[in-house]
Amino acid sequence: MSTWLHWDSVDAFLAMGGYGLHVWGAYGATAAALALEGWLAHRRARRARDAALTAALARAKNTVAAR
Amino acid sequence: MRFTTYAAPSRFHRLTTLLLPWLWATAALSAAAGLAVGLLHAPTDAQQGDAYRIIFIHVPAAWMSMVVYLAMAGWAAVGWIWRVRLASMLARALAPTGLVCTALALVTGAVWGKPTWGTWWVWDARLTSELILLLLYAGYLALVESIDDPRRADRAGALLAVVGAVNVPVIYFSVRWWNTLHQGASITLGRAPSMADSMLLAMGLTTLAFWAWAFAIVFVRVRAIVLERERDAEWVRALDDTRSTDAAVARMRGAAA
Repeated sequence: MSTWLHWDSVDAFLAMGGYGLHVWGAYGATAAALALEGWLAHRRARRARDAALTAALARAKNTVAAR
Repeated sequence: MRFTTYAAPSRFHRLTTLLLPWLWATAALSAAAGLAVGLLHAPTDAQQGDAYRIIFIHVPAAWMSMVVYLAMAGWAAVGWIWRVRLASMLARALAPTGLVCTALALVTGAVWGKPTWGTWWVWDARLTSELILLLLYAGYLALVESIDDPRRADRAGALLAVVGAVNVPVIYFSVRWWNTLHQGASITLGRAPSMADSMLLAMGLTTLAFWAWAFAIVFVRVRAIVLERERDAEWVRALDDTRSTDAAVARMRGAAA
């Protein structure tokens, strides 16, 4: 397994041959952007669902009241 | 069953309920595997050192930025011409994901360009046309959000999206048509890729992750748009989500009190 790993140490892995800031910066920005997009989309879905079910329940209540 | 069966929002909702867990799982697993191969195993590039490892997110993000645009323009056109309401909603749902992919392609490209070219940005054809893509997404979103009537907003957005599609082949072929600082394609159909096998594997896996992620997030957003527009439809009542129902009941009680 040790031959499968390209790096000799954790420090070497983090340093990325002197490009650590660039590589980890790019990956960090990607992770942050995708996390934000995921959170926003799920929040929108949750709100839409709650609003739709509130409307559906209100309609059901009106139907019962009308009888 | 005809292929148009899932054009009905209610059926689409049921279908995506089944698909979403698999899409999230595919995205997570292929991202983990791709990052393991790309960051832990793949060799250092002879010319660019380890800075090249940005490729495993830069290239998939850039591909997605173009593919998502074509999908958005295509669905917008279908919704416009044949008045398929789900197609217009798909176009709307694709735009934010395309914007994110384009922004990521530009940002990761800049961070990669600094150590390899010595500059964050140049006005070469590839970079400029990708920036125009970002402006097209932003313009599309600003346009459709500024029009209250959803049908009118869909039509106006479709016009912008379809006209802007001209830019996509310009991005793709820019490195061939013009002399750009941006490097040419490492992967071209019909030619052996100019990359090590492990690099290619890593990029394949992260590309799969981006595709699965894009499908999942777009489905989540389409479902939200469907519910926003069709909250009065009968099928919405049948949604069996106890958590949401409880929340809705609590809100009604709050409103009644």
